[in-house]
Amino acid sequence: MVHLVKGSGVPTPVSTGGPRLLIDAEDVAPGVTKVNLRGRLDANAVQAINATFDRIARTQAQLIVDLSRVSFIASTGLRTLISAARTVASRGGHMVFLEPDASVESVLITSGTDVVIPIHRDLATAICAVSMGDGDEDEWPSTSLPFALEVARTMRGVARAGAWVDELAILLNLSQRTEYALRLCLEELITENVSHARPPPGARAETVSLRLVAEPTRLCVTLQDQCEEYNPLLAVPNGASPETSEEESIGIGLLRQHARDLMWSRVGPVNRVMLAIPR
Amino acid sequence: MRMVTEQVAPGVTKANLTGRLDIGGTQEIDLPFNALAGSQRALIVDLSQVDFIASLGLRLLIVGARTVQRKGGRMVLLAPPIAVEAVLISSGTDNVVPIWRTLDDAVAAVSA
Repeated sequence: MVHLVKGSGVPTPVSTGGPRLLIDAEDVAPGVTKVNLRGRLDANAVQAINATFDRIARTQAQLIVDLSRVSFIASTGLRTLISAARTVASRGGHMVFLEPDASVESVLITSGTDVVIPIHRDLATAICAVSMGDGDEDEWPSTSLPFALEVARTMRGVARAGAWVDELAILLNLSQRTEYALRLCLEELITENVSHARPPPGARAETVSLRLVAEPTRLCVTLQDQCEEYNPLLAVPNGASPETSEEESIGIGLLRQHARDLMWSRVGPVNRVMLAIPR
Repeated sequence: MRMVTEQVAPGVTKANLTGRLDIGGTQEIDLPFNALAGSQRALIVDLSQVDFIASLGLRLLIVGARTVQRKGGRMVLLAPPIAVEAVLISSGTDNVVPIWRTLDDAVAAVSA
């Protein structure tokens, strides 16, 4: 295995001047590479490590990104990491995070990045996670492409999500049935959020983050907002007939008919709805 | 989203909708459709060129139908594509606004 930056001995500094960010890579198991980042992942640091990180993502299929010594992460940093995960995934590989500190972890969760790049607390489970499905050459390629969009928590935002579905339908060559279900689920959930979710006192919470991971047989969709705790799935009890429900909850009834594995959870300051749509 | 109206029988109006009844499409025809429902007693809504509907679009149709019914009139839906029909049925909308497959049946239903 060739490493662009050797992990043995003294780590190689990449950025110069200011608060320094270091990057180095090491083998932690056969075929599994751990990239160690250190310092502040601000805009300058990201620029400095971008090329190196990109080359690692292009050559390694099983990548663990150790964040235990990263003290800050900016949105450009998140973009670099998501872009690397997409590169790795496009070749059937896996990328995970290892041990972010509390403040960095909260950014990863709030931005929904952890949906695309899972967080692990110890090296052993991280190695298991990236080695998943390894060695099954005959299997359907486990290509999972992540996509992300942030929309305003307004009716305009609902319309923007609809335009996103247009793009995805072309990009992923979705069947009419899948496109219909995706459009319906996003429209219902964001409309529900705009109508009923409330920002916490003094906070803004003006956007909904959308994440979509395209697997060969299904689309895994995540919606997140930073409103007060609110579970839209409770709008209509499971199995209730939409005919007898209030018009308000027709939308959630339709959602249940078009989505699988619907789940709501409260993650720190975030409401998260996850669902899957068969392709 | 487009809405074009035509007279298909004496006193019977057909509204031809074309496009997606998503949030954007619903907002576009909201006013003209409500005005139409307020002025007609026998209304056929042709959905054959509508390829998407969700709860916002259903609400538009239900409110329209109630407006027509309040005056003792009738509104029906004509020939929705399969995916749209599935949503109309599973939401129970077809209990409020019946679905017909042919124009003749639809005309008979609103004229009766």
